[in-house]
Amino acid sequence: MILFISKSAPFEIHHNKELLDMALAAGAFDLNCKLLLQGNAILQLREQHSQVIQQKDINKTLSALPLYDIDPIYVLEQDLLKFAIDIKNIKLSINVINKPDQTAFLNSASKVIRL
Amino acid sequence: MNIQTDHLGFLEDLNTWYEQVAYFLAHLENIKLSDQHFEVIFALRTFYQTFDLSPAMRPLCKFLKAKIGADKASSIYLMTLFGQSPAKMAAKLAGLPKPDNCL
Repeated sequence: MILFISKSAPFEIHHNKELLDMALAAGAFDLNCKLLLQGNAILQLREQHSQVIQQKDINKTLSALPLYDIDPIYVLEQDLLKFAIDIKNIKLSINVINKPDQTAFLNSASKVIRL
Repeated sequence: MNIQTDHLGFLEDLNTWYEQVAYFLAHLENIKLSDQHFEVIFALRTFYQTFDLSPAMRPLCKFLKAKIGADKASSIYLMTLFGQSPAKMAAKLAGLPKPDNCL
């Protein structure tokens, strides 16, 4: 399994786009991929106002992940708490990893790409 | 008709697309557009509007399966319509950017 870890806030558009492009390319070739949004990256789950800064909407692209078999999107329990995000309000399919399971989750990846 | 494309023939501005533009671009590629072509082209434009993304082949097929039916969602069907690189060609005729991860 290839684990893509996004750690960039939504407005760090180049990092996010690079990472998603890698993940989508890998997904398009049927590789087993997972995406983890870590730290500030969890804010990508919130609706963006990207048209204001004339950028692509990262949230829209995330919603295409099921078509690439990259779903659910993984998030960490402590990040949800830190940013007070309630996954009930999020339309994407999300899997929350509780603290005790996080090491095992990271170890289950054969490759990790973090951007 | 004034059409701006990049050096690969992809439309510069998505918003300048209308059906006549598709006919014109298809003519340049020696493709005669039918209703079957437009079914895929319109689905592709919906894909782009929904996800802000030009799809590669596999996700496109999955999307078409849900939108226009499994029988029209195979790579073979798409190749009979759009030639050797259907995702790329259909994106071009639909006025979308070249799929990023379409090699």
